[in-house]
Amino acid sequence: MRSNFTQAAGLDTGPVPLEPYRSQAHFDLEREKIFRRAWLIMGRAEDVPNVGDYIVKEVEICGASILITHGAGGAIRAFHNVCSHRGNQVVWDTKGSRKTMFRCPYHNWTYGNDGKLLAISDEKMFFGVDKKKCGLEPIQCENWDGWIFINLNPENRVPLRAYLGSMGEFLSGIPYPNAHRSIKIQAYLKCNWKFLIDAFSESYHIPVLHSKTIGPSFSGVSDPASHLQNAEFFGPHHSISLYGNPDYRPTEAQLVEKLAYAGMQSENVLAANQSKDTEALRAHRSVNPGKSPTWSMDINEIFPNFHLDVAGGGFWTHEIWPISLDQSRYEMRFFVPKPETVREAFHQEHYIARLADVVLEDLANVERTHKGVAARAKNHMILQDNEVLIRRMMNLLDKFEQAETLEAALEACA
Amino acid sequence: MRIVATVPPGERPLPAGFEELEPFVTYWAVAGQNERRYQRCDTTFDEIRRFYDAMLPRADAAMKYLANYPLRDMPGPEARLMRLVLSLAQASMAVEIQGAERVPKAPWPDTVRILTEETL
Ligand code: FES
Ligand SMILES: [Fe+2]
Repeated sequence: MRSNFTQAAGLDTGPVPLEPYRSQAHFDLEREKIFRRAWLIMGRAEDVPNVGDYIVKEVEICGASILITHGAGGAIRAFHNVCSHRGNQVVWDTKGSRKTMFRCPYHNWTYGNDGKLLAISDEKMFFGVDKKKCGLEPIQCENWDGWIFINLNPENRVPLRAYLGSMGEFLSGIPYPNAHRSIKIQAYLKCNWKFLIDAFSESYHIPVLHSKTIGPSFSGVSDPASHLQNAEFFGPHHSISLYGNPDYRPTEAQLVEKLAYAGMQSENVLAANQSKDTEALRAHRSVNPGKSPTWSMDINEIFPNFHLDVAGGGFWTHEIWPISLDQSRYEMRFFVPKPETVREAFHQEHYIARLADVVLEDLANVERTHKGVAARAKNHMILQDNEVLIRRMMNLLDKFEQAETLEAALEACA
Repeated sequence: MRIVATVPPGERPLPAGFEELEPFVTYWAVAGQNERRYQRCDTTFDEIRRFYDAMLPRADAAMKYLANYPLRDMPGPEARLMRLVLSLAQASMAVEIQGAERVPKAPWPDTVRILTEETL
């Protein structure tokens, strides 16, 4: 079987220019035309489970600090974390709970978690301030299937649901096990953010770069090159399915791995959950959408910087945040059960330790790739069919950068 | 960064029966996944191997013994034994998977952090 995903995506097959990875002009366009216009992931509704809970997230490329609150009545809202008095950040930590009020630590202006300005200290010395007009600056914030997104364009007229379009319909209703509990792997990298997107968008590298860590479970006799099992394209978003080696077993010498998985009845050897706890997840129509018998996981890429990955053992996410042309923040979240026994804690330690090694193989590599591309020795990259998402991403970025509005960008990607 | 596990005066380092693991407590019985990963990355392959060889044959017995204690509220010696067990998972990455102390050709120290909601 020789599929042609690149053709199916309506893309040409020529070399792809490298300039967007290394030019400041492109980076500036990405800020204005993409990050200031697109819907951006902030997290799960479970990150602010109770009334009074809040989190603060940074969107460095836009210089924005975002306060997300869970207000009375259940509303989840987003605000610029900027005081109306003289512009300090109102909230200085990254999360907290049961706060109905925020007091700016500079001069004590006080806001409700609905953004309203409640009190000004020493108010009589001001010159008639209309408190109603001095609340925190609201940001459009919507929830899709428990995922919280914001849009930094105050004039935006595209609702989240329309932005996600057919991708939202495709993924809707996936039951996410342990959505309330995650372990995060965070790193700051000296590379353009798109190298990180690329690093987690193809399987061609797995048997090579990850030859010791996950190569043996993501490639095998029936597919030594770890070919894609499926690819689906939805406006600016897309989904691919990866191969899994059905014959993978730990080697004789992998005694700790065996010990860690001894109590596990799991789908594969990289699993956070027991099989029974992912049954509903695996039964969803869009999990392993091609219903491949040799499936390991799906990579669902929500434009521009969010991966929602689903496997037999559970789900995880990647968020990739540009800081500057050659600096990025990377955050991977694994949603894992709360261990109740030492054996369960041991399994989880092994699971995360292995993933940290895998991810580090990718992360050390993106810095090398950035260096190579920035050297301007080459002006193009040469992509094969299993790298279709990289080619498509470059095409989507270009469409967004050309488009006058978000509506027009979505139209162009349809 | 230098992190160590300390034993309060008057406490035994580990529960009775696990004395031969005591030399590993200071370095390997540290609290936190990020800290245990750091320890594994910040030492030599030979040191990791020495710990792995001593810990592996006792891991199952240790987990059986610790099953009698609540995971999040263990007395000092039991908590340190648990952390040694958890460090074995970290050490196994070097011994069973990489065949080296760290991911080959990755920079060290690095900016990777494992951020957990609770510290075991
Ligand atoms: S800047 Fe917030 S109270 Fe002055
Ligand atoms: Fe990778």
